[in-house]
Amino acid sequence: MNRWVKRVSESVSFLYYAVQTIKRSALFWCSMLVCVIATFPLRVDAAQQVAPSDAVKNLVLYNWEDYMDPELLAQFEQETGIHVDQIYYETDELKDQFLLTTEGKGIDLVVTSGISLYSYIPAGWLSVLDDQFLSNAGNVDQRWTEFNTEAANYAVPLLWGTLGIAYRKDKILEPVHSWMDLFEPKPYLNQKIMMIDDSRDSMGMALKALGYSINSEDVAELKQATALLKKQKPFVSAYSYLNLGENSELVTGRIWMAMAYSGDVQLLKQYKPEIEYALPKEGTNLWVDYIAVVARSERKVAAMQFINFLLDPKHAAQLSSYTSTATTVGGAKAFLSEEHLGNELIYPKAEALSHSESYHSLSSKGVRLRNIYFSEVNN
Amino acid sequence: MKLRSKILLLLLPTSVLPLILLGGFAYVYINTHSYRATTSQMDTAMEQVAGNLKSQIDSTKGNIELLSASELFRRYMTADDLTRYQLIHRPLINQFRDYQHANKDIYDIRIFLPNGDEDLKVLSGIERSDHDRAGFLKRLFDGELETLGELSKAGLPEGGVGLDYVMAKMIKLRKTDSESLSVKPSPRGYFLIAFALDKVVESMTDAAKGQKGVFYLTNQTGEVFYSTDEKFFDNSKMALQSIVSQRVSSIRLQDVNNQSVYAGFKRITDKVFLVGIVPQAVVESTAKELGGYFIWIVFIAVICATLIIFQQVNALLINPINHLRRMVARFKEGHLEQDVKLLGNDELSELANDFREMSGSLAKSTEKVNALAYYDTLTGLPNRETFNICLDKSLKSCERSNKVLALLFIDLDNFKYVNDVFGHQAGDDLLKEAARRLESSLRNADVLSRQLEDFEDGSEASGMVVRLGGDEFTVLLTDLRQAHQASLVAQRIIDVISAPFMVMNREVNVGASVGIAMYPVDGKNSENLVKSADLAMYEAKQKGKNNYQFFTKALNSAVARRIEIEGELRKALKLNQFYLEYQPKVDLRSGKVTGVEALIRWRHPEKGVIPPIQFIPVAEDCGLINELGRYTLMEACHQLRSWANIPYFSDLTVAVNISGQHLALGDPLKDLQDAVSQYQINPEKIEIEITESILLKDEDRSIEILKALRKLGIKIALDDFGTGYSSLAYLRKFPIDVIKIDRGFVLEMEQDEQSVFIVKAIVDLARAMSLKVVVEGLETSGQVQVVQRLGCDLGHGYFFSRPVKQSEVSINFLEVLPKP
Repeated sequence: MNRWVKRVSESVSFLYYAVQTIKRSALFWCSMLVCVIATFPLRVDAAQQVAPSDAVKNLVLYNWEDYMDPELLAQFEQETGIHVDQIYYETDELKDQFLLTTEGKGIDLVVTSGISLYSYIPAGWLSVLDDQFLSNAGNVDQRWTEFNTEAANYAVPLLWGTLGIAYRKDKILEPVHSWMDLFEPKPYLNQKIMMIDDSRDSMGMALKALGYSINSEDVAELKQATALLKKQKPFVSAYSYLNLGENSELVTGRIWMAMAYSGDVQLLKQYKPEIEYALPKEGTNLWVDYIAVVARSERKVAAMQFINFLLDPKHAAQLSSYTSTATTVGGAKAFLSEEHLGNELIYPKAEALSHSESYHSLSSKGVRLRNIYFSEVNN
Repeated sequence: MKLRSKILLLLLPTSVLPLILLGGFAYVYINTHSYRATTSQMDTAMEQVAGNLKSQIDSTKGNIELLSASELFRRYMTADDLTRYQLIHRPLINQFRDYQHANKDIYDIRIFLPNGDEDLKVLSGIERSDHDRAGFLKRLFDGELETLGELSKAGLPEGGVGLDYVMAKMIKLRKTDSESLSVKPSPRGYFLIAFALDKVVESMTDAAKGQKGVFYLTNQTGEVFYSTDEKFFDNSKMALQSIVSQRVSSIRLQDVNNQSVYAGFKRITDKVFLVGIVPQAVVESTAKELGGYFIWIVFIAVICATLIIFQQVNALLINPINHLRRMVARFKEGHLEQDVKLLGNDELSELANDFREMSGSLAKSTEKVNALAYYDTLTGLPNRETFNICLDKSLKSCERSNKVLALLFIDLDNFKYVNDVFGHQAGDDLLKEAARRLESSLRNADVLSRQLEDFEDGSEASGMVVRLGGDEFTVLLTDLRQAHQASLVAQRIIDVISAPFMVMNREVNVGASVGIAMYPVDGKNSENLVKSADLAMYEAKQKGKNNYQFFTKALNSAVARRIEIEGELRKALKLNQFYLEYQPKVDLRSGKVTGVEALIRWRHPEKGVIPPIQFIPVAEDCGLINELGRYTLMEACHQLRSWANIPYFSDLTVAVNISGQHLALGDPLKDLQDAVSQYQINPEKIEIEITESILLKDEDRSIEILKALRKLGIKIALDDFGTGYSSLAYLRKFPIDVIKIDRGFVLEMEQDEQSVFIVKAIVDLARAMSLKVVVEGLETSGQVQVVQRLGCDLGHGYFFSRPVKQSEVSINFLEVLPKP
């Protein structure tokens, strides 16, 4: 059996290898060069002359699933005649890998976490935004424009939230208010826990649980956090992302506790009111999701038009309401219900966020360490 | 020696010897050539292990090329730190991990920076420590080779030592986006993968165990990477080097480390050699073990063959032969019918079947012979032979059990008459019917066959009818409690026989005279018993027929007397103790004596004169009657001669009684002729007196003799007329001149009118047939007057004269003759 698996994988590997070899080969690059040269004049023409036709073309948004209100897209199409298609990524890692292999070719817009911007911008995958197309940029609260100054020219903050613990209050009788409730769980939670498959989140929260900064690069602290994660591992059913549909593991009861983004929890509560969200007392990561235009997009103007559309307070409110996530557009509150605004899950109280931090860019050495350590946990 | 032993002695060596020889040759062959098998097996095993290892090494090489050629890997190696760690690090780790999932043996994948720092490490779940890798890394970082592959020891979690193939490659790449193709690729780091050779080790260990040897993985200097047995040679470098450095790699016997071993090696790469060693002692012991097995197999085969041959000889030969022997033995004992069949179609079975058929047909013919010998052909009844056997057996049985036995002798009355009148066929039919009736009159009739078989065990027949011959039958009754039962049976027999028989569509009455003798009272042995029964039967006949008589002592003493008389008769004939007396016959009209009746007398020296009634039957029985008859005739003729010259006496006739026996068995004609010629007398002076019963026995011969006698002029008188059949048919049939009316009529005459009428009728008849009538037994004048009146011709009796000597014969009785 194993031999067959091995054979298949070997042949797959060989194909992969062969393709890579072809790509590498001079012939390939020469032909690519010819193609690029051949299409170059056309591209210039398109940028200069065919602006109206630019509007006719579809935009492609690279996004989490269920993270955009289809009505907004319809509305945008109605207003501008630009149709927006979405392709989805399931994890940040897959998004990174996709961008690594395509460098953004084929997509126009990407919704991404702030932390990714620290690598996307140096990699040159994002386009600098042109203010003349972003009249609504001023609608964003200053708090969020200042949140990551490095990203200011490349991306617009759209939504924000926290990272916490989602749990089934009907299954877990003790109050949940500490990261330690997750990392050092009660015995009955064996195989009933799900962790996010992300070294920043999992390692970061482990650091936070131990009282360290989520951005720590200290080897000793990282090792402690790794030890904590390893200790927790037997209880963990999976390192993954929560399924957000009605078949979600948390809804069905296959797991009872999970590390989760606040917006996701709000969604799942619709299916199972017994699902509760806790912001741990040790503090957490305050995250912001940005939208950016991909450098290789051929419809950058239209893309920026769409961003501008989203920054309209009314539209921002609609997006916030749809995603159950807090909006960065201050003016949007006028269009949001009291219920939405009063939901502490979406808009946590200031005290609750007192110990919270947001991710900073880490040194490459720090990232490497975390990757290595987390890969020891999640292997 | 038994047949079985002979056959086995012949078969066993011929079948078992080749087996033993084969086994012996095989044993020798195995012993001498087992090392070849060992070395070739060893070689095969080594070939397998070596091939295995080689393919793993090749696979490792392929894998390192494959992984290092991936786009992600190339980008990782060429990207700046930020991109490298933020973006590519995790995906690359995942890629490696995925790869490890598919190739579990590649448990360790690492990337080192050009300065030797470890940059990335992906370990699969396999827990093993790489305790021996420092030297390898040093050679990698210091060396000039771009790729380096070595076997390396690894620590196993259980504490054992495992084996890895570690391969590393220096990665030289140019940055695709910023460096032109003309720039020489610069070193970006090292890529290492470690391949867990657990499967190779496992196959090696198995092979070593299977070969009872030791396998080593060494380099050319004899340094051991792995050995299946650490203690062997103490992993001696020298010893291994001495093997590896040889030019010939094939396995052969050599002296290594002062040990005699079979050793050889396989070169896998320049630096890796597989060495296989099997101690000579192991090879020898294997050979011995194998030989041992072979001896056992041969031994078992010999035992099996012996058993099978033994069994087959028994089943195919000995058992059928024994079976046949038993058949023959049974046959010998007299069981002629063999119903046991021998299955199979071989010669023995055929022989058995032939024998069975033969004995069957023999049984049938024996049965037929028995039937002929033991049964009467006419009636189907047991015959005299059977009777004798049965009687003897029954007597013995009765003697043992103190039981009573009755023997019944049966004689059919008047059978002769039926035979005469209706012919032999009718007589035979009558006998058959009589036999049937006799049988049915007994409770258990046809028991002969059973009896013949069962005499041994003493079982008794209750009743058995036998035809002795002629009209004589016997019945043997064996289950009697008292003599009375025998009389019941006898009466039943008389009853059934007395019932009319249908002969030639006519009713005929036959009677039975039955004599009964009881065992043991009437005879202790069969001879006596038969005699007794015979006597009793005779007695019954004497007593008027159609009755039964028990044997009595009186009969027995009569027998004794007869026996005595018989003896004395013979003497008497020699000693001339006989003489004749003469009783005158008187002419009833003239009163003159016309003749005399000669009567034989025996003057016994001690007992005085014995009357003829006592010795005549004896003489008849013992055959002396002929002599007596002859004597009488001679004497009578002699008397006639002496009277011939005396006046008046010369006219007298002499009547002589001729016994039936004499007439039937003797030759009275010749006797008479002899007498007549001897004394020169006129035959017409002689008169022969015979009884009716004589004529019944052998009619034709009697008639012939009588006719011949008559031709001589001799007159013939029928004596005792009126007592027997008194059939008038005789009177016509036989040449008779005179009828003598029985004295019984004369005795009754004075009281019984009937007798007078009968005598009158006889006289009238005689007269009509021109026969003379003589009356005997006349004692009174009254009687004489009656017969005178009836017209009888002659008479004699005491009234006239008792029988007297020849000298006393007086010839004139006129004085005494009453006037009619």
